[in-house]
Amino acid sequence: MPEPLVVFKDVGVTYPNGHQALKNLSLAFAPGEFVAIVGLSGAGKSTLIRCINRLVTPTTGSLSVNGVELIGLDDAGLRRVRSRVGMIFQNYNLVRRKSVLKNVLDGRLAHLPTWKTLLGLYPKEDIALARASLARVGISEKEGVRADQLSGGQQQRVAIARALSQQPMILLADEPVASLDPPTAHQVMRDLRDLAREENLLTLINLHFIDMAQEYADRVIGLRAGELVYDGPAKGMEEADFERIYNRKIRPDDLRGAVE
Amino acid sequence: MNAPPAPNNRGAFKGWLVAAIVAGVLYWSALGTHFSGPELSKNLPAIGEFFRKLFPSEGKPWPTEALPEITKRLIETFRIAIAASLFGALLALPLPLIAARNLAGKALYTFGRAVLNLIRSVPDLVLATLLAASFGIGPLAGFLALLVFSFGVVGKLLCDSVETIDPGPREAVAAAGGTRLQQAFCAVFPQVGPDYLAYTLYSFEINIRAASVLGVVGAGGIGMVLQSSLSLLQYTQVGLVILITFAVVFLIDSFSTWVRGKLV
Repeated sequence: MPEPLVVFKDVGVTYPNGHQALKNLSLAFAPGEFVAIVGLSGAGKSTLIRCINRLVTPTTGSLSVNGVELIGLDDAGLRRVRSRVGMIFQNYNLVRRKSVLKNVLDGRLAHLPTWKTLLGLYPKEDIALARASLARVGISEKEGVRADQLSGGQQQRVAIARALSQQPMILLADEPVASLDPPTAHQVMRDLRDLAREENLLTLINLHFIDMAQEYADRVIGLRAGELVYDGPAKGMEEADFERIYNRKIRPDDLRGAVE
Repeated sequence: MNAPPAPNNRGAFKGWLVAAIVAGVLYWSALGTHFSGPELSKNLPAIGEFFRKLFPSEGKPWPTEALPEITKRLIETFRIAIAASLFGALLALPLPLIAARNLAGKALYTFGRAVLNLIRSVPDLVLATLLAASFGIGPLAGFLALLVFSFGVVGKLLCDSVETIDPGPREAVAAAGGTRLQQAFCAVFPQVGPDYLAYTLYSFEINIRAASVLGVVGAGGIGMVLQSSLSLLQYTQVGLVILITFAVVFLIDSFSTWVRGKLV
């Protein structure tokens, strides 16, 4: 295994309300891995992913990204780490009233002094990079359109372009296809897998549907009530593995189904 | 059947008690205003009399010679309202950074909200009177008083608006390494843009009405003409000023409301 890019060591997260979202998690991820994280809702999938860019701060243990320890890291250091970690969300999280291009340019903010942001002075290279990212997800022609004029699938592409414009080493995706219809969901998953391969991106995707995880991921992480209950290749998972993750037999609603 | 009727009785008693208290407070307040039926009917004809004097009669035509002064003061009123609304709103723009719960830290937020509430608790006429006393009679006092008002009202509404935005886009900008200011400018403010314009227009509508009476305390605008013609007993001039002011304010107000409707 090559030098790991992300290392969790005994990471625990307890929220202020006392809820223990992650318990003593130790994991390592290498560059280029395409990982699906599965589990019931509330199992800690979102918390796990959000630790990696410290949208959630672990309460115990240590967590390093690209050799930098995240716990106790100052604001400037944290922004430097975040600048290389792209993230996409279930609800796309675009600024609906801004143009597609402006939304993609938000991916460059870590490299832009705040005063230039206020004046909207984006360097030529950043604009070129944003356009190139839009081209890669195949919606160049929409760059001037307001984000809320696009369909869900198109908005998720814009969000992927925003993440790409960060020139990331890591891509985090929190239920990226949960709001999309099955054909679009499969298309987005294929796009993510292809991009990850081309860019050698470590990609971590939270998925509710176990069959999608098996179809696209190299490695599957199974969580149950904040604990690691499966970590292994996506191919060759057995009935018993599923039952450990879900604490019951697989039901049809755990499956998204193939493209019709 | 053993349904206890006690809570019902207690509820009815409470209702009567509240009604009695309301009636008592109402009576006490009315006493303070010297309000009474006979008084009202006695003075009703006097109101009609006064209204007749506002309109031209035999030998007392509209004072057209006052039109240039009225026009000048109306334009002044308009300028006071516009300048105060625009500058007030502009100054209010950064307020969410210190007085919106989701952008400011807890201590800053408490402080910012307290200042905003304090500012809004000063009536604009009181402020205008104080300012006219210190800056002298004229439109500057009116402008400053209404600027403070616009700052307070646009600031308060804008902060409330910012507190109800979708947090998702901001989380995305934070995840990409944006600073707190970048999060505000790239993901929060774009969401409240139309609200901000609507609040600015709303404060302008209130200001144009307020600016019309500011002159009564010497703070500039059409109220100055109203005040002087009232004290000189030039009733037809009072009538003319009121009519023109009413028409102009109504037009501007309707226009602004129409634009505001288009924004939302």
